[in-house]
Amino acid sequence: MIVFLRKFLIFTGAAFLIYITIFGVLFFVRSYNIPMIFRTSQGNIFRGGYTYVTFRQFDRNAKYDIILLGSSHAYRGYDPTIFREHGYNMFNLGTNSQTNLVSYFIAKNYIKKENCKTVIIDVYDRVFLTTTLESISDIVQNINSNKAAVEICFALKDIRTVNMLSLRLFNNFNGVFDDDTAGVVNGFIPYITQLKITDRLKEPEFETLDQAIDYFDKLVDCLQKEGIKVIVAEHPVPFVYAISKEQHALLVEKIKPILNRYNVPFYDHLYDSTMTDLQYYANANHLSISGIKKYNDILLEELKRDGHLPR
Amino acid sequence: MLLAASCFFYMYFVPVYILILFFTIVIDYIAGIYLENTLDKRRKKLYLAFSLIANIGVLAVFKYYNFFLDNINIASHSIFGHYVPFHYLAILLPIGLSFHTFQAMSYTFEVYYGRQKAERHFGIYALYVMFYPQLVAGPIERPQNVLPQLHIKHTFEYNRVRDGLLMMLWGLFKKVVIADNLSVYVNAAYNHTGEASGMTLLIASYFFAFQIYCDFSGYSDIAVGAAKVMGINLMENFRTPYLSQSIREFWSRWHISLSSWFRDYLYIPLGGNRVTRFMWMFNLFLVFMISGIWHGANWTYVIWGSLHGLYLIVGILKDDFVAARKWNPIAGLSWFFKSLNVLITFHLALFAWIFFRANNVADAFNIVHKIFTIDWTVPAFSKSLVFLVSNPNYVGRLIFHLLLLLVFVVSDPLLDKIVKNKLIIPSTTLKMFVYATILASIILFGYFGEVQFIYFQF
Repeated sequence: MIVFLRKFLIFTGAAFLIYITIFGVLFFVRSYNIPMIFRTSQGNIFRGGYTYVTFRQFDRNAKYDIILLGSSHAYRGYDPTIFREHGYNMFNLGTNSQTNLVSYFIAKNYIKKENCKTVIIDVYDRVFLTTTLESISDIVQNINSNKAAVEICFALKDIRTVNMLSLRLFNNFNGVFDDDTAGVVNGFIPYITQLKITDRLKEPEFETLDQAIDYFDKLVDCLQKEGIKVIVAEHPVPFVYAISKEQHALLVEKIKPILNRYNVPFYDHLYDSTMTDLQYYANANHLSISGIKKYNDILLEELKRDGHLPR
Repeated sequence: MLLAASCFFYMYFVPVYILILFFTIVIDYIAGIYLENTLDKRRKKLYLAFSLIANIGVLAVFKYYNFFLDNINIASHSIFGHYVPFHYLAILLPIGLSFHTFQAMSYTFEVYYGRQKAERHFGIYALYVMFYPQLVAGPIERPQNVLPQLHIKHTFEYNRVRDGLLMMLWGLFKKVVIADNLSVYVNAAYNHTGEASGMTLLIASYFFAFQIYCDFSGYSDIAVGAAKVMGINLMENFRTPYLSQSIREFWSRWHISLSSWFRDYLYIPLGGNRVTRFMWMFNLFLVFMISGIWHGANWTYVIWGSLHGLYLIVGILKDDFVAARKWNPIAGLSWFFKSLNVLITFHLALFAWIFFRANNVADAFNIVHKIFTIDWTVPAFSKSLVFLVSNPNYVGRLIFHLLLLLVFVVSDPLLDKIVKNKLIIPSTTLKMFVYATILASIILFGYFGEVQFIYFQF
């Protein structure tokens, strides 16, 4: 048995060395000027882009009235300029398909009582049903906290995160693919397109992941323990693509006990009757410029009316 | 302990289905003892029939009932113009049903033929049917091989455990690095046959041939390796089948435990080749058609099995033709003819795989039609690659996976021998390097999305 364990350790060590060697070779050997490693898996992505810029724009020492968390609905649907017009300094820390697990570790590592008074979590039904590994790869490559990156990978308990962390290490040897900050304002970047399709699409049925609900609970708990006010909102989606009311009711039923336990208000605008016109949407999932203006104004007025934000 | 682990493993999927499994286990256990205790041939046949009806009955209800009703409905609609309001079963197929049913039946047959003593220990017999490494996708074992091993107390043996783990590692490599990566491209083409071009479907068909080999032989290696770790030696299920020089040889190297099951319990009882020539060929065709149905309740599997039956018949006729003319390969060119035979055999198997993988018969014929009216131009080829990956930026990844497949195809015959200890590497360092590279490749290139083993559904 001792021989077995000793040889097993030597074997594992040898495998690790070979792994790093192959990874290194594939990282430095290029085809069409792209490192080969990016051709091996969908989860291997460049460092750079929107998420990279957002986390470098975010100033941990600044004082924000509001920080936004959530998926692309958050970073493409809540405009800091409109919040500024209402008198609030807001930063948008939403990222691509940000799951509650990722939101939790962002909150844990970036949001403190000293730099934030209120957090708005934009919940979107779809992020409750997937681990969105490719999006997690994006955050692991681009977040500027090694601790947060490692914590996210460990929390996922997925072997693919080994490659993500290795790539994060090797990406330090590579330049940033796209660090253009133009268009990204306090983590916000809208779509400038206009939705034209009017065919109703069938929404597949889905089940929420227990992990997503658990991390939603942890997220709210972590923020409230920090003494930060938490508000949950859901922004509208075009009726032609809307999640069925039955499906949405199932999700609300699951998060309602958490909201009640922590006394967190929920501004559910998914089926907002004042936002059915297609001009308010950029595409199947996101608001257009006019939609953002209208929705942000509505939400902020509601929050002020209910006393969740100072007038 | 092993029985408890096996029960837990089975109940992890649909717990209540353990009752079905226990039902057949109890029936076969009792039938085995009665078969051994009886000398009367008629009574023996009665007990055998009793056991077979119980096993095939379960299989028929869970696997073929809805298929049967579907076909009656199709016939009814085409003859009378209306459907019959049957009550369909809305239930999941118990996992590995066809495998453990066949394993249980092999025990009853062996006791019936007097080649195996009835097992008196109920726990040991139950473990023979439920042994979890091979419960869901084989190999379909024989009682002579497994039952005696289950009676022995096994202790930790370094070499055995190491060999078992390394075999599991190789199986995992085949599954997650080759099969699962290829499955993405295969699904992209085979689930959209309307839009996919002939070239796309041809590439996907080649990929599927290797996907199914790596998926199933990978599972078998994991099962055999896991059993070895626990001290149980299971039979070999695959022997580099794509190197076969004929379809007959292919079936002695592909899913060996199933093909030998059909040989021993169906083909030989039907008379095998000791009947008239016509009946021999008919038996072959029948056995392979039934083998097709065994795989699934769908006409695509029936056609797949029938095609293999047909290949074998044509093979016999070809051998007769060659023998009658006393043709001999040209001296010095035997390697060329061998290679040609391997290529032909592989492509015959590949053609049959189209029916195996297609979602339905109409799709299968559509795929065949498109492949035989292919556009061989370079732009068509480029378009096909883009279709398979859905985005031009990902073509590089497909090419990388293609290179990985080529490396596998070249190294598989050698590695298969090394893993099965048929070829001993004298240098321990070299051996460690080979296996450490396999482990590193699994982490680096493995596809860890949700892809089930193909044969779990059978």
